[in-house]
Amino acid sequence: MVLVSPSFAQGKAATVSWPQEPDNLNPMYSTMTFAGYTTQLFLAGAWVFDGEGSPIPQLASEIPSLENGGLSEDGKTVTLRLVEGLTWSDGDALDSADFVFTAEMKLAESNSVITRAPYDSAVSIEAPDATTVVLTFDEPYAPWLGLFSYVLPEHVLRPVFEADGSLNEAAFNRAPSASSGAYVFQEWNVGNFVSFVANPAFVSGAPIIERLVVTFIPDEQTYKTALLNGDAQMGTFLPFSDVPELRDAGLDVQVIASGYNEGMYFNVGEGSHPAMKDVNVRKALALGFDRFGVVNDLLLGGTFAAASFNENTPYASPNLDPVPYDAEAAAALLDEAGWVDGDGDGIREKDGENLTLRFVTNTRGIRVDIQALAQQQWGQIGIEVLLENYPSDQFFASFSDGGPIAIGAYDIAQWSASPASFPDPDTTRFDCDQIPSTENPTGGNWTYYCNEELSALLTQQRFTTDFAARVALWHQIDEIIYNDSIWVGVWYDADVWISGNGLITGPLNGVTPFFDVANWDVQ
Amino acid sequence: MFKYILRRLIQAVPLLFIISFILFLLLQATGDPVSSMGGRMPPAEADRARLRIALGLDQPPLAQYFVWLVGNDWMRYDTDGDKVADATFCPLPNVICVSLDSNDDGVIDPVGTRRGVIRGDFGTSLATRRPAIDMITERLPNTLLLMVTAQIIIVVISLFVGVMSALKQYSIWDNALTTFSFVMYSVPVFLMAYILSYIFAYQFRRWGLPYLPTNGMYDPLVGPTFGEVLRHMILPVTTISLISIAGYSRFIRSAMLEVINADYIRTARSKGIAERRILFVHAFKNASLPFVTLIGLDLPFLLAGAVVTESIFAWPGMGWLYIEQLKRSDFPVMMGILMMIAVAVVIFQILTDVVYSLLDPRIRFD
Repeated sequence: MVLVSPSFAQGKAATVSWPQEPDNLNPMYSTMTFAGYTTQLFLAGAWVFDGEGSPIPQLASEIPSLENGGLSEDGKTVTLRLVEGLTWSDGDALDSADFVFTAEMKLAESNSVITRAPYDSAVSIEAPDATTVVLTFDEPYAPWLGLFSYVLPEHVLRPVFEADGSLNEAAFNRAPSASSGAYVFQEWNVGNFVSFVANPAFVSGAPIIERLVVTFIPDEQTYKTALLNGDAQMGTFLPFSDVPELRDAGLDVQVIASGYNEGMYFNVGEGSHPAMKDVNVRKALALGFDRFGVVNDLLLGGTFAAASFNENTPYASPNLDPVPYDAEAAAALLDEAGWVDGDGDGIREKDGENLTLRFVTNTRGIRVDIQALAQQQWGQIGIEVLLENYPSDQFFASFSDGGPIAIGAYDIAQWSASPASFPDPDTTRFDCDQIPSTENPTGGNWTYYCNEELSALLTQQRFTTDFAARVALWHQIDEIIYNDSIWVGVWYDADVWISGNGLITGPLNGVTPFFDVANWDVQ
Repeated sequence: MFKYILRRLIQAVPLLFIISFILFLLLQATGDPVSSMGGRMPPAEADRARLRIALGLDQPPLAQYFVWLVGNDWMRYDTDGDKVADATFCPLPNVICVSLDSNDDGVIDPVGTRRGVIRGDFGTSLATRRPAIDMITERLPNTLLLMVTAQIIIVVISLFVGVMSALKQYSIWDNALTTFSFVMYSVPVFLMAYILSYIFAYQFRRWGLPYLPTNGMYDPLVGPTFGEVLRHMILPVTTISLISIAGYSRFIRSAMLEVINADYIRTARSKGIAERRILFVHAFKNASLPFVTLIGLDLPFLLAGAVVTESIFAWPGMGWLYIEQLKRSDFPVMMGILMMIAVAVVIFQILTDVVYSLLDPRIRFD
C-alpha cells in the first residue's frame, strides 16, 4: 500500500512536512519559522541565499555592490535594480512600486506587524522608475542583505488597505491570490495541509515538480515515522539524535547553518549572584561543563561544540576553540577567586555566602537533561546549582511582564539564539545601552553585561558596509565575548533537514531553503 | 419538565459568567502572548511593546475581560462636555478602566471593532489574527468525526464486554477481559498511540504488509475520499477506544452485577419470565442509569477532542488546536474552546436528567 504517490495524476508532486502549522501566510504578520519557509514558496525576494550561504539575485537583476553602484560609497544608499518584465502569477506587472508598497505596509501604524525592521531605519524608499528601488539611510547601513526578503503585491493589497484601514485581517493572509515565487497558492485545508501548484511566471522558470503539498505533524515521533515511511518526502527540525537512524534508512540528511547556536548566558547584573560579576567564576563555569559530552552522548555526534556566537560563519573568530572540559582548572579558578569550601559541606563559599547559582531555561527536553548534567558537573567543583524551568512564553517574557531572563532573575540561562537578520551578524544582545531597566524596558541585553569597548565595536560594525572590515570587527567582538565568558557556546545548533522517498533536492541553506526549489525533482 | 429545563438554563447564565471570569484570569497567567509570537527567538523588545498595545494586551486583566465580554465598539463618552471623547472609559471607576489612548499620545484611538462575547464575538486570535470562533468551528467537525466514532465504538463494545463479564462472572472469559481491561486502563494514551503506530505503521511497512497512515485526516495527494479518511481514522480511534473501553466495561460489569443479584430480578425469574427479557428489560435498563450519568459527563468533552491523540496523529481537531494555542498563550481561542465546553457541560447535564426521567418513571421534575 503506497500512501504517497510521487507522480500524481496532475504531474509530479511532492510532500513537505513541518512540525508546526503556519499561523499566517503574510510574512509581515508572522515570525514563525515554518510560516517563513512556506511563504518563500510563493513570495520571491530581491535575492536568496545559495547552498553556501552566498546571495544570488532573484527579483533583483544583480546583488548591490560598490562596483555596480548598488551600494553608495558612504554606505547610506542601497539601489536595487530589478529584472525587466517581472509579473505576478495573475499577470499583473511586478515592479518597484510593489517594493515601495511592501515597505509602506510594514511601516503603516495601523498594521500590527511583528517588526518594522529593517525599513524603520530608512530615511526614504523610492521608486524612480519601474525597475529601480532606492533606499536611503541616515547612517551607513551594513545589514542591507536583510532588505526585501519578500515583496507584497500592491495591486491585490492596496485596495484592501484602503478599504479596511489595515491588512491585519486581509484575505491574502490566508489565501494569497498572487504569487511571485516558484509556486502559486492553491488551498489551505486548516490543520491538514497547504497546497501549491507550479507558477509558470516564476522568474527562474516553472518548477519541475508541479504540485507541492505542505503537511503538518506536531508530534516528533510521528514526524520521524512519516519520513521513514515515505508519508513525507521532506522535513526538518528533528533532533540530532535522530540523524543516524534517518541516514541508515537511506534518507538524505543535511545539517545546515541557520545562525542558531545553543549557549549559556551568564548574568552579571544586580539580580545575579555576586560571584557572577567575577570573570574567573564565569570561566570556571565554562571550564567545568562538558559540552563535548553533550555533543557526543546526548546529540550522538550530530553536531559539534560551539565556540562562537557566530559559529560556522565568516564572522566567527578563527582564533577561538570550544571551551574544553577541565574541572581541575575550573576549581583552581574558583580558588583564585576566593570561593573555597571552608566548612566541608561540598559547596564553596566566600564572605559567608554560598556559591549557589540559579540555572534557568525553558522546558525543552534536551535542555532539562543538560541542566541535570551541569548540576552534577558543577557540583563536583563545589558549585551548588538550583534548576528552574519555564514554558517558553514565560521564559522569554519581556521585562515589563517580569520575564525571568529579561529582568535578570537568574545566574545562568540557556537557549539557542541567532542574529535577528541572519546571515547578517548584527545583534543587540551585548550593547551597554540595551540593558533593560524601568526606563529602558525594551532593552535586549539580558546578561546585563556592559563593556564599553565591546559596545563601541558593535556600533561600529553596524555602520561598516565593507565586508572584510566588518568581519575583522566581528572577530574582535567574538573574542571579547569569549574571553569575558558572557556567552559560552554549548553546541552549533544547525538545522537538520531530511529529504528522500523519491524527492531530489540540491543543497539547502537555513535562510532560504527553497532557493532552488524550481529545480527539485521526484523520481 | 419544560419549566425544569428553563429553570436550569436560567441558573446556568450566572454560572457561565463566573466560569468565564475565572478562566479568563487563569489564562492570563499562562504566559505572554507576544513573548515569541511563535518564532524561535523573541521579537525585539520594542516590537513586543508595540504589539502589546496593538493587540490590547497593555490593558489590565479586568479591562481586558470587560472588553472580551462586552466589546469596545461602544466605549465613547464625554464627561467634561468639551466635545472630545475621554481618554479613559471607566464603567467601574477604580476597578475597571479601559484606556482609549493606548499609546498615550493624546489622540483617542479609533472606535474599537470588538463586539464582545455576549454579542457573539469571541475576539481575534493573537496568533493568526483570525476570528477565534472561525478557528474553533472549522476544527469542530474533525473532532466530532473522530470522537463520536470513537464514542460509539466505546459504548457498543464496552456494553457488550461489561454485560458478558457480569453474566459470566469468574469465568475464563470474565478473567481474561478483566485482565485485558486493567492492562489497557493502565497504559498511558501516548504510549498506546506510539505502540499502535509502531506496529501498524512502521513495522507493517517493513514486513511488506499494508500499513496504516500515522498523520492527518487524509493524504492531500489522494483527496478526502471515504476510504482515505477511514484509513486515517483507524489508529487514533483505536487508541482512544482501547483505553476508554477498559474503564467503561468495568463500570458496566459492576452495575450489572449489582442489579442481577437484586431481589426483583430473583422475583422475575421465579415468575418464569424469560432470561433474555429479564436481562435486557429489567436488569439492563436499571443498570444503565449510572452508565447514562457517566456518558452524560463525558459527552461534553467530546467537543474538546483528545489533546494527546490528536497531536500524536496530527488529527486537525480541537485538542490539537487547544494545545497549539496554549503554547502561544492565545487566550481568545482558548477562552472560546473552554466556554464552548462549559456550555456543553450545562446542556448535557440537563439532557442527562431528562434521559433519567425517561429511563426511570420514579424520577419526575415537575
